[in-house]
Amino acid sequence: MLMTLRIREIYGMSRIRGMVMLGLIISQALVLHILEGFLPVLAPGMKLGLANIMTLVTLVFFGFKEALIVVGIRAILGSLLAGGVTAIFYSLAGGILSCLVMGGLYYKCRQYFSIMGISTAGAIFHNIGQLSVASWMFGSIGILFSYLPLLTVTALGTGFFVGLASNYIIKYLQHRWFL
Amino acid sequence: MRIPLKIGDAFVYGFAVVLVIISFAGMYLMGAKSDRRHVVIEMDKREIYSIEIHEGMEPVELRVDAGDGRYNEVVVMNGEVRIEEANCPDQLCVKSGAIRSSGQTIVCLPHKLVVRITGAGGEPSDVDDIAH
Repeated sequence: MLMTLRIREIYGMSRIRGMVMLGLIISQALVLHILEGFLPVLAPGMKLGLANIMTLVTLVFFGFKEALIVVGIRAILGSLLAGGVTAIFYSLAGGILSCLVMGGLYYKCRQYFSIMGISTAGAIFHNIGQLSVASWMFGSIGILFSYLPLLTVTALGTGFFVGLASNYIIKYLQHRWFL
Repeated sequence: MRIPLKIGDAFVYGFAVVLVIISFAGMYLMGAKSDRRHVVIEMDKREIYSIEIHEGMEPVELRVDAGDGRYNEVVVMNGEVRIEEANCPDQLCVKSGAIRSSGQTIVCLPHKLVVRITGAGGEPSDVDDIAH
């Protein structure tokens, strides 16, 4: 079930405590998601992806399934609160695809990838997921091709810094878990 | 400050470069079909308007109605097209600016509107494009 958690094994955390922490992580991801919406964008679809920090933290401290839950709930609630109904599909597609990729990279080949690399890959696949859904909804593959180059280059920068931030948070929380 | 990068990160960056090349190639393949360019306006996946564009043409102003008082004003002018004004909440279509080459698109997600420029490759020129 939900709380067969790595964190429980590591920190001797109770099932309830783990659930509360997951709830806190989701709310933090939600706040980051919404705050990010206030920042100006240079081009459509271009954003920092701050909420990905919380996804990475969940991925490292809890597990793959929990990260998917965080992404799913964050995407649905975040879109309802700050985007719109259509934004749910873009957010969900991008979030789930990036979570799958990041989970795969982290749990299958962690020794070869740093958190920055995993976060960057996640950012790139977030764009791919989002643009694929947009292309499919509009029935034009041109959307994918015309937005991808710019968004991929942006993802390299934002993904790296989100990864760096996550790296520090994860390092800190490993020493004193107090969330 | 030491940034602990690992060897696999290079693959991520390599993948990004490949991705950019692929999408440019895709754009080129889609755009290179013909020199003749059309502006196609689609609403909710249906083509509602099509016009051939070229340098030095007469300006055309179109008001696209998306229902419920929502509109986009599309201006086709001098071989390029842009959305002059819209009452969508995010205004991203207006901020996209003008597009002029094949394969480029302006998207207004809230109004389900796509304005794109296509090459006319393979299509018989005397057929009204709206009939397709």
